[in-house]
Parts: sequence; C-alpha cells; structure tokens
Amino acid sequence: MSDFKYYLRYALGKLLMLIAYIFTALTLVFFVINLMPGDPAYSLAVYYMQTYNLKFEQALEMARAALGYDVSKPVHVRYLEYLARLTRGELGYSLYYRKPAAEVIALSLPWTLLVLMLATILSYTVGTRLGVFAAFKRGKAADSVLYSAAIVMLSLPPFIIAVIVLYALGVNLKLIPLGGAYALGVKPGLNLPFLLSVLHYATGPVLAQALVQLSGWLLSARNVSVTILAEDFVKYGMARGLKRGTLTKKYIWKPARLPILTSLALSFGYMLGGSTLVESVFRYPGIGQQLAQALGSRDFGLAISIFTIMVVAVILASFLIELLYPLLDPRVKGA
Amino acid sequence: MRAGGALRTVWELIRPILKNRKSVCGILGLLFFVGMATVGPLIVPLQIGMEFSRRYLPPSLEHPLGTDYFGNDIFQQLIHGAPLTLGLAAAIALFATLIATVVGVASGYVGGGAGRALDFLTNIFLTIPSFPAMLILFVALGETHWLVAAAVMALWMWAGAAKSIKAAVYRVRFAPFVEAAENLNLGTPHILFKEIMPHVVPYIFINFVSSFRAALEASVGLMFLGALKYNPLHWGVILNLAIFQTGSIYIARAIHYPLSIIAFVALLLFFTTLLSYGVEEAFRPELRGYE
Amino acid sequence: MSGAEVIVRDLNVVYLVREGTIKAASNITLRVEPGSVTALVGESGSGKSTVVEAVTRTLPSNAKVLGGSVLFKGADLLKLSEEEYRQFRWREISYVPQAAQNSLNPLQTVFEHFAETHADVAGPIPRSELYEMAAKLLESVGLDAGVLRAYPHQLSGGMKQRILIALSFLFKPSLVVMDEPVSALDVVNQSLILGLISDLHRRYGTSILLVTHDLPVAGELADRIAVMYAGHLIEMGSNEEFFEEPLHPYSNGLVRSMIAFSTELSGVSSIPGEPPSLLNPPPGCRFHPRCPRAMDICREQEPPLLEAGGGRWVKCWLYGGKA
Repeated sequence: MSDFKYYLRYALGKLLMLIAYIFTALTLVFFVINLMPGDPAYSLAVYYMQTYNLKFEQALEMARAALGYDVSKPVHVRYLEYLARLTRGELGYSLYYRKPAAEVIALSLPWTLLVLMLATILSYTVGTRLGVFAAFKRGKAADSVLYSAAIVMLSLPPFIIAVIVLYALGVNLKLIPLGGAYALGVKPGLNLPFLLSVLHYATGPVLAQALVQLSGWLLSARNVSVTILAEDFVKYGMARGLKRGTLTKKYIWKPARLPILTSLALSFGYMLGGSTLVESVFRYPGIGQQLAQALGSRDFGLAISIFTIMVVAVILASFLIELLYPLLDPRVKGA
Repeated sequence: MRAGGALRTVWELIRPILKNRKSVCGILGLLFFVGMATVGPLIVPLQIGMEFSRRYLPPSLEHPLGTDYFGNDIFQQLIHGAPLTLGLAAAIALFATLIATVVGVASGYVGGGAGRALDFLTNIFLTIPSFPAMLILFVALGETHWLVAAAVMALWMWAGAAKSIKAAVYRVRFAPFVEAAENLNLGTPHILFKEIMPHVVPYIFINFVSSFRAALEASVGLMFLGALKYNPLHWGVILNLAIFQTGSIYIARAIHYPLSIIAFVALLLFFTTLLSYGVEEAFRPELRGYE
Repeated sequence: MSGAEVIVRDLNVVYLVREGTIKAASNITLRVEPGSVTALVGESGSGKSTVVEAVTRTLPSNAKVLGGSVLFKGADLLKLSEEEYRQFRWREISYVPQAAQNSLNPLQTVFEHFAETHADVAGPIPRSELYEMAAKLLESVGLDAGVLRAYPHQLSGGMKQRILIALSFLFKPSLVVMDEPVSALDVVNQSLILGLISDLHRRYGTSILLVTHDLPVAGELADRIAVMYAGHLIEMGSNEEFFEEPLHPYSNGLVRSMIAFSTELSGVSSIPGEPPSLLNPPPGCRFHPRCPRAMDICREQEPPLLEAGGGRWVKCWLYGGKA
C-alpha cells in the first residue's frame, strides 16, 4: 500500500472516532441534564414566572421546552427527539433573544475565535522560544528564573490574570477599554478605523488569555526540549559537526512539535473554560460571556446550544491535530 | 498489613516529599493557610453588619486589609472563609481522586474491551470543557447542598487523574513479579493490593494534590461568576461581590478590597501548585529541573 | 587519506556529580600508530568511552578535562576552541557511536543525514552528486542504495550500524573512532560487520581507534591492544604479543577466561571481585584488591607505566620501576 493510502486509512479511522466521540459526548450532555436530581424545570419555571409574569403552568411548559426536559415523555423518546433536532442543525431556541440559538451564537463566536487565535499565536511563539532557550541553559540561572516565573504564572487562574490585566491596563493606565468589541460609533466593515478599533478592544482579552497560556507553552517546550537534548541522535548530530542552526531546527524543534501539539490538543477544553472567565471580566462579547449571561437570565436553550458548540469544537480541533500527526512524524504512518 | 509495615510505607511516601525543595516550600505555605482555616476563626471574631459610614476604609491596624462595600472587615471575612474554601476543595479532590483511582486501576489492570471502554469514557470527560459544563449544571441545579456540589464538580475533574493512575498501573502491570504472582494463582485481591498498589499509591497522592489545586481554581471560579451559591464567606463569593456586584475595581480608593482577596487566592494557589509540582518531582526524578 | 598518528598524553578526565567527582580517566597515555587499528579494551566503567569522548570532544556537560593533551596532525585537540576543532570534525576525525539504534534522527531519511553532514561540514553540493556519493558509501558497507530513502525506524539494527559506519567514511578521515561497533548485534551480524570494518580499513588505510569490552573482537581486528581498568591504562602491546603473553595480572585473567570459554578448560576462572568505585578509588594500584600477585607496594603506590621491551607497556610493579 502506498503512503497515501495508509494515510487515508488512518484519517478514516480518526473520522470514525470523531463521530463516536461527538455522539457519546452529546449523549452524555443529554443524560446529565435529564437525569439530574430534582426537577430543574421547576426552579426555572419559578424564575420565568417571576420574570415574564406568567402563570405557573405556562412557565413550567416553557422551562421544559428550554431544557429539552419534558417529563411527560419517556426518556428514550426525548433522546431520539434530541438527536433528530441536532442532525437537522437545530441547536435550540433562545428565550431571551427570541431567536434561534444558532443566529445568536453566529454573532458572538467570531469574537471568541479572534481572541483565542491571536492569544494562542502570541503565547505559542513567545512561550515555546523561551522554553527551548531555557532547555539549552538548563541548570544555569536563566533556566531557574524562567522556570520559577512559569510556575508562578501557572498558579494564577484565568480570572485572576484577567482582573490584574484589566486593572493594570484598563483602570490604572487607561490603555484599554473596559468592555465591548469595538468602539461605539465605528462602522463595522472592512475599513481601517473598524479594524483598529477591534484590535484595540481585543487587546485586553488577548493579553490576558495569552498570559494564561504562556507558562503552559514554556514549560511544555522546556520539558520536551530537555528530553530531546539528551537523546542520542542529538549527540550524534553534534559529533558530526552540524551547525547550531541545523541542530536547532531539525533536531530540536522538529521532534518537539509533535508532543507540544499533543498538549495543545489537550488544552482546548481548558482554553474555552478560561475564555468564559476572561470574556466575563472584560465584558467582551464572545460566546464565553454569552454563556455566562445566558445562564444569568436562565436562558437554558441558548446556554446548552453554546455548550454543544463548545464540545463539538474541542473534539473537532483535537481531530484536526491528530490528522497532522503522520505528516509530522513518519513513525506514525502505518504498519 | 501489620502496623509497622504500614507506618514504614507511609514514611517511604513522605520522605522523598520532604527532600524536595518545591514541596517543602509548598507545605510551609499551605500550613499558613491551614492554620488560618483552623485556628483563625477561633481567634478572630466575625462582625458582619452594614455600616456604610465605614465603607472602603484603607488597611490599618484596626482593619488589616481594610473594609468592604458594607463596611465589614475584609481580613475577618477571609479568615472565616478559609475553612470553607479549603474544605470544599478538599472534598472535591477527595471524590475526584476516588473515582479516578477506581477507573484508573480498573482500566489499567483489566485491559481488553472493558479497559478500552473505560479509556474512551475517560477521554470523553477529558475533552468536554469542564468549566462550562459545571457552570450550566450549577445554574440549573440552583440551591444545592455543598456535598452534592462537590460530587458534581468531582464528576468533571477525575478524568486527568484517571489517565495518570492508569499509566502508573500499566507500568507495573507487566512486571515480572506480577506475572509470577499471577502464575502462582495468588488471587486478584492479593495481586492488586500487595503487588501493584504499592507502586501506584505515590501517583494517587500526586493526583490528589493536583486535583486539590484544580478544585480550588474551579470552585473559586464558579463562585466568582456567581454560578454556585455557597456561603457568602467563601473566597470565591467574596471575589464575586468585589468585582461584579460592587464594581470596586473601578473605584480608586476601594482597590484594596479586590486586591487583598486576589492576593490571598493567588498565594494559596501558588503554594498548592508548588506542592503539586514538588510531589510529582519527588516520585519522578526525571522531571527535576536541576541536578 | 591515509591514517594519521594520535598521541594521548597524561589525559585526566573527571565527572562532576552530586556525590563528588568520578575519576573516570587518570593519566592515560597511549599512541595510535598511523594507519593501524588500535583497540581500547576494558569492562564497563573502565573509562574507555571517556577517553574517546575526550578525543572526539563529545564529553557530556558535567565532564571536566583536568589535564593532558591529545596530539593529532600537529595540534593539541584539547586546547582548540570549538571553532578550531570544527575543522577536524568529520573531515579528519569521525566517530561511530555506541548507540546505533538511536543515533539517527527518526524524523528524516538516511539520505538527509548524508546531505546535512556534507552541507554543514564541507558546503553543499548538487543533490545528484551527493546521492551518488552516498550510494557508493552504502555499497561499500553492503547496503543497497534504496536504503537512502528509508526512515530509521524501518531499518534493522545491523543496517543502522552499517549506515553509521558508512557516514563515518564520508570524508575519508584520517582517524575513525568506533565505540563498541558490534556489541548490540547478534553473532551473525557481528561477524559480518567485523569483516566490513576490516575491508574498509584495508581500502582506506585510516587509523582506527576501536573501543570494545569484547576481547575476541579486539583480537580479530586490532594491530595493537590497549587495556583499561578502573580509569587507568594498564597495558599496551601488539596483538600477537599480548595474547601470547599478557603481562598485567588483570589482562592475564581476561585472556585466560577467554580461552576457557572457547576451549572449555576447567579450573580457569574469571577474575573474582568487582571493579572499584571511581568516586573513591583505592590507593596505590587500583587493581590490588583483586590481584592474586599483589605486593605491599601495590597497596601504597600507584605504579608508573613501564616499558617492557619492544613497544610493550605495562602499569604494574611486577615489571620493575621500584624506587
């Protein structure tokens, strides 16, 4: 079998796994919601009753519909209806916005993607370079300093970092705005004032998110590099008189990319959780903040839809990275 | 196991930890917080009221960290919130480690179809973003007893630990002495507890510490967003009050309020992280950053 | 193109560890004659790898050269800066490392190894030319040119060993250092590779410094044999003379246990005891705790390297040198 056919077989296998994962995950989501102790629809109904001034029976019906939790129908029927809805692409309905959830999410998802992308690029570039540098200087002062700094930063949770950035740059130095995705009065579109404003308003969340991820990259790159530097093939490369540049690129970076990417894939879930906190602190209109707000107004239809998107996104991203493995490491290809 | 043997194994567990700089540092730092949680509430009284005239007083001898929006002493609140904060996280970590140990040992030892199924389940829980999941669950559940809350949170925290424990079991599973015990038909309980577990226990402990750290971060985070309503003295709830409800971060003279809470939370997490890294290094010398 | 002479004089290397310093190689003096195969023989921990690592400047970071010189082509290799030594790397001195299994970069093809070595050491040349060169080298070690396209994980241990040997002859250096070239292989491959090394030596006439713990291997390939024990060079002589009459009690024990294995003589035993710790080596001669002929002076003073006639050297009080 040619290399390409091996790869196709590999990709197909991963695709099946992808479907299995998504299916199981969404099933899990369904059952956790539907099998929770007590009747969450009840407390939700009370809330709706008070907020929307309804009679209890009406409120209860709404609550049941929002949660997808209709005790009148047996569990397996509800499950099948749930699956049917999902395959149609119907994510749910937002009571608060009175629109299909998909429409609401489409407005906020791009902002989160923007922030996460910029933050990841920033923290990856800086973090991995510092990590490899620290590995080369292992045992010396530079390594200890970087390592200690990384641990300090690692111990700070996303909301603390976000608050510190908000305070330092926003409140204190008044360098960044305190909420929103772009300035009022700027017209959205492909024009320079808009793009600049977007970047300006994204600075806070991007910086906070990047700082959250930075130490992870640093430590990951450092540990991987330390292991690689001790490998025999690196020593043999040095013995052959290979130049520093060649060694660094082909003997350190290349082998390091795979394990580092793996740890990236594992951190997606955490990244999304972190973005919820960061966006809330900065009042940045991404899906994280939207989730928090939806929960605040008990808009479960929207909340669960956002969560579904998050789950699928994480699984998809991991799948895409796994597709990259054989391209990066010839040992993974096949037999 | 006889008492002497048990004590010896406990000592063998503790000794490498005490030799490691990071964990000693972490333990010392945590001792401060544990002291704060146990002895603090006994010494420091709690006076909660609403005296707006004493609002946002800066730190002084009378109020070491100043006062908050309601004029209440911040230091007193933090002291009395310490046992809640630490206790809840400990409970979560305990539950999570328990689940992780059962699943990890099972999937590591049993193998085959059942093992792979457990692996799959573990991976599912690993991929699902835990924080948003908990967020939704707690808002849906509304008022819950703290033990139930701890259990629900543990549900989303066991996956990573289970993977690590499984790896530890796997490492010894095919060792010659295990094979010998199997061939001698010594029985599964014996093999599990006497041959395999002693090598796995350090990793259970490592995972407990990192679970504790993750539980702290998650529980404070959830209360920070207002999803989990617990006790108004829990540090996460105080932080929520400080940032979102009173907006004190935007008020120049009130900045000591959110900052002191952040400082305490950050320090607690820092020492816990140190301990977590130190304990891991103690049992896995290859990770040491220096030699 | 033909071999050059290497003189190691009073080499002293230690390793710095948490418990103290390991005296890995002390007062090593030996000579590799031009175009000859010199075997450096010793058990693990005897210091033989340390000596070659010092010559090829591949010592680990916690090693320190306390003194001595390595004279090669008019230069003291130990005193050169890394830049100056780079002129020798691979062009004049090449190295076949001990860990053939893991010495090739798993993420690139065999050809890539040839290409990058040539490019970084002697400048890039047209790909087709390089390919031909590499193919010929592989041919000389009994491998097909198709191997060039393979990745290391697709190759067997024997094949990888041959590739390492082929690579070492890329620039037809004056000195090739081989560290345990056949230890990790099965008996069949061992014999094949030994034959190969012998062929290459005859063809190119380079000097070969061969490190091995396997005395028969040394016996088959070497013109001269140097024995190391516990960080000391204890005997040196020509192949025939050494095996006919090993002078040092340790070498004697080694040769006799070798004979026992092949001729099944009873009553001939291996040497009882263990080599000493190099952290705190015993005073005097380092072999005296195990030596059946140890004298009082052996326990107190370290013997000098004494000449025992016609190019034979031995570090033992039995052969004179008493003050």
